[in-house]
Amino acid sequence: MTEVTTIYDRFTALAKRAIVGARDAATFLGHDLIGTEHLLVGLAQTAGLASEALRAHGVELTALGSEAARQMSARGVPATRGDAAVGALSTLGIDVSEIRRRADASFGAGSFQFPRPAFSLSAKQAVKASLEQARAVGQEEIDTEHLLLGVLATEGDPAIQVLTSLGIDVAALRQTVLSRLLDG
Amino acid sequence: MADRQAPTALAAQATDRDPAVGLRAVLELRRLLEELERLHVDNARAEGWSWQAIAEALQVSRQSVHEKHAARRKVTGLEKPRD
Repeated sequence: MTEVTTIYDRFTALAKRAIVGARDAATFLGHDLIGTEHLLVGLAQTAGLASEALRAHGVELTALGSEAARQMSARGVPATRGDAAVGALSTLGIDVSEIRRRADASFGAGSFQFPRPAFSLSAKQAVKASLEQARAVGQEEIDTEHLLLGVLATEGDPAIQVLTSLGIDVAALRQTVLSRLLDG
Repeated sequence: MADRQAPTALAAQATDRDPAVGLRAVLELRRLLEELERLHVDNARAEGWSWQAIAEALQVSRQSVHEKHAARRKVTGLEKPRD
């Protein structure tokens, strides 16, 4: 019996896949944080209502990925694969590469990952907003469309700026997702 | 990088008066702690430890350790559903 549930227990398989995609996008770009832009990329490359709506509004995955990367780089998001995190620990005399070497020897290669990209504050808020979206329409599970609405919930969020730069009408996109949500 | 510095230089940085330096070190220590906890909880489960035994070793409640790790382990297929 699972007596404890977390927000991730409510995610559908597709929503979980989108989250994994977001993490992979952050890792691929050398970013130490998973932001709403990464969530958007993860959603766009995963099957489901979110990617269907994005495509219907003219979002193309390659263009989305490169515009997101361009804007994050312009904002000064470090793409140094967490060197700063490792450096901060070395100021305390902690040798992360030595820990990794020993962990690999004891538990197998890749068992210790530092730094593991973590959710940014705005990405956490987007996930929380997606839960509220699902509840607002009386649904128990969080699917890709709720996540997309969560990402689009905060005006001025970097993910919205990426879409706007690509010429996407975000208000219309939101409306499409909402109406499909209510149809389903 | 800083890990080639003499011990006195390291101690100086660890007690740097610049809040940005000190707070960053605290943040990264916390992330390191989380990663080590994950590693050792996974190892304990692989060795057949119960959630109760892991919770006692970490001096936390069974509920909090389960909440923190069981969902993640299910997503990555490490944990069978219904545990």
